[in-house]
Amino acid sequence: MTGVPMPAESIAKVDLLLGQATMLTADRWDDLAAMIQEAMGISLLMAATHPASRPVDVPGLTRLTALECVQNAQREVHAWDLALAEDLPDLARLRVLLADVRRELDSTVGRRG
Amino acid sequence: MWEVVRRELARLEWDVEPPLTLDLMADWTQTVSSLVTIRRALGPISTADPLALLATATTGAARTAEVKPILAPSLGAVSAALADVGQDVAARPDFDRQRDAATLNHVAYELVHWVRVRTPDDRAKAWLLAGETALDGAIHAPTGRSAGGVGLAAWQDALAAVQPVQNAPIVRRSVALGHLAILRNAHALVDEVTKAGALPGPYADALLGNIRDLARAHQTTLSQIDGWRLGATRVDQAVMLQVGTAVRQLTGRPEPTEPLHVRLDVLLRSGLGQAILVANLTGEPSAHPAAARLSQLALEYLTKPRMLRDVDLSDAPTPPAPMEPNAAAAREPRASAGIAPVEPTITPGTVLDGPSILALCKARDLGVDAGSADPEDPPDSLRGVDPSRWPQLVAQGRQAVTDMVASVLPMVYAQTRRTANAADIRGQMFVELMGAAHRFDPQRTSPEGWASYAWMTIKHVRWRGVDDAGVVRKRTSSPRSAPISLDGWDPASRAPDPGEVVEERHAVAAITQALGQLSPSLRGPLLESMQGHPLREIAEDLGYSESTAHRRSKEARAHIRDDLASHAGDRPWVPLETGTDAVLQRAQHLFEQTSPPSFDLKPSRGPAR
Repeated sequence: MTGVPMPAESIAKVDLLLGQATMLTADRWDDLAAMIQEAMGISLLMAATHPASRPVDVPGLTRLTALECVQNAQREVHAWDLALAEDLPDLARLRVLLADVRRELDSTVGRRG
Repeated sequence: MWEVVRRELARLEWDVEPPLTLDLMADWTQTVSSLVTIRRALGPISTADPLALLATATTGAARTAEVKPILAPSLGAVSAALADVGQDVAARPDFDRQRDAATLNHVAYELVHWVRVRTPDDRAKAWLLAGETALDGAIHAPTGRSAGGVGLAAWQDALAAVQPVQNAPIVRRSVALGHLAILRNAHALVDEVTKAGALPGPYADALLGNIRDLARAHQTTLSQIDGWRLGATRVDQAVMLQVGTAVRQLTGRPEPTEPLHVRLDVLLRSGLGQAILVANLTGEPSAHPAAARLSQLALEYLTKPRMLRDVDLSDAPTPPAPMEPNAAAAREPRASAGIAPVEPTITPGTVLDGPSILALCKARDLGVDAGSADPEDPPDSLRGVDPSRWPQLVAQGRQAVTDMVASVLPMVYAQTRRTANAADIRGQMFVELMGAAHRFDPQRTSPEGWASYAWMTIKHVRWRGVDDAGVVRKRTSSPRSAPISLDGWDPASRAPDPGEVVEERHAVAAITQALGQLSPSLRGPLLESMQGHPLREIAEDLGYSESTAHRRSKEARAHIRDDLASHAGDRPWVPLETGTDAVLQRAQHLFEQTSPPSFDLKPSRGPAR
């Protein structure tokens, strides 16, 4: 262990957000959906490994779009100490995935006007 | 050696007045233990082995809530005969491993079918069908090991583990999310092989249509789960870890060396990730028809697996051989059989300099391109290269990956020295190292960074670890205990022994009965307490003061403890000698793991959680 406090509640929020993003893109069958699901898989395992001590809420979760879910998740993850990489081996992959997904979703939304 | 088993099977079928059992599932779990004992005596058992899958499926069936005991002819004599075979196999070094393994699969297949048709509950039946299908595939259309198969075995194992807590929203959510990932993967693979003409069009269309229907049903399930309530249910962390690990395995990047048709094959063999079991667990009505049709299509594939392979084998890239770094690795249980190994051209542990690693990566990438490129429209990397040379490039690419792995091989042994389950962990590390050798990008760090990258990969595997059956599991900080005999234990999971599962069902019934005898004023506080609510919330919900809630909860516990103790003679599983508190703790733990009680708990005021 690194001695860095584990942001269990933030992990739970990311888990909620990426679960919601997965739900919203459940009818997509492209690579973007695959990336969201991979990120969801990572956060699900993180949340199971480091459960929060109390229920966590994301206000207005059900009203968020997939892009907003990913953006919020990315904000949470970017707030985590990078020294957690030792305890969260998939952290780097999650950061990369969220960046890619956000960029892709962003450009899709942009293209659609 | 099998003569007595054959005789007992015949008796089972023809005996006009057979000895009866009151609980067929209990008999069956015992029989499965005997079958698994024989399988283990025949050699290392992987998580994707049909017998391991049968054991997991049996655990799932035995854990199905509210299944009434089944009166049926007893399997006791068959079980005893199988136990004798297990002892014989263990004692004799000269047995014909292949023949005995085939016989074992046949016996197990016949028995699980026999049990399934006598099981009235549809959910338990679905579990048994999953085990039967795995054996059916192994007997009639055997296939090699694959990374996808291991992931799906972990998934089935996780589904069995969540069975007692399936009503918890967090569990339903995780199962639906995990299965969505399986469906998306299946959709992509079906799409791709169909475009390549490797799957009949109508069959592929039916698959795709039902996959989409089931995904929509999961979407409905997820949309109905309130995220705020997820943390309000207490679910055993080990169970959630098992689900999370399985989902992570399924959502990770696919093993690049695994051809498309192999990945689709394992998905179809698994009934597309046990669609029916998932539909049962999520409880969404619209999921059932799509899941049933998918299961039917998967079974259809099992009867005619060539409908995928015929075209695929001729047109698709040659399946690359799996990594067999050296003779020691070839003895590992994860080593794939039946495919030509690639020997490294360097001595394991050779330190490669930057240019050498760059050259290997280049050869690797060329090989990957050559293995999947279209001669009509080659990628830039292959322009000007005669397509007749492509197979050679594929072989060189494989060799490059093999050499990259060989260069870091001593790390694996350094990490697993003096470790229990070393063989399984090494097997997992080899698989991961193969993936790492394919993923490593020298442009992103430096070519010399390969050793560090491999080291991190190995550490990751070590961090997660594998259990006695080779299943990747959660991190442990302490050294693993020495392996113990799995006699009577399910080797494919850390779930309780099937016999213990039956005991647990009895225990839960006893606790439920004892709870039913409590007065409502005592039952209410106790139930809330058992669901993990703090005293303050219990008091608020039920309209008591905190001290009253505490007193009533304590009194209720004393009643339950007395009641359980008075029936201790009827329930040998209750460890009375460990003290009454332990009894109550176990009772409470078991109760929390099962579906919520049917008692009508209506708080007089306060918010419902």
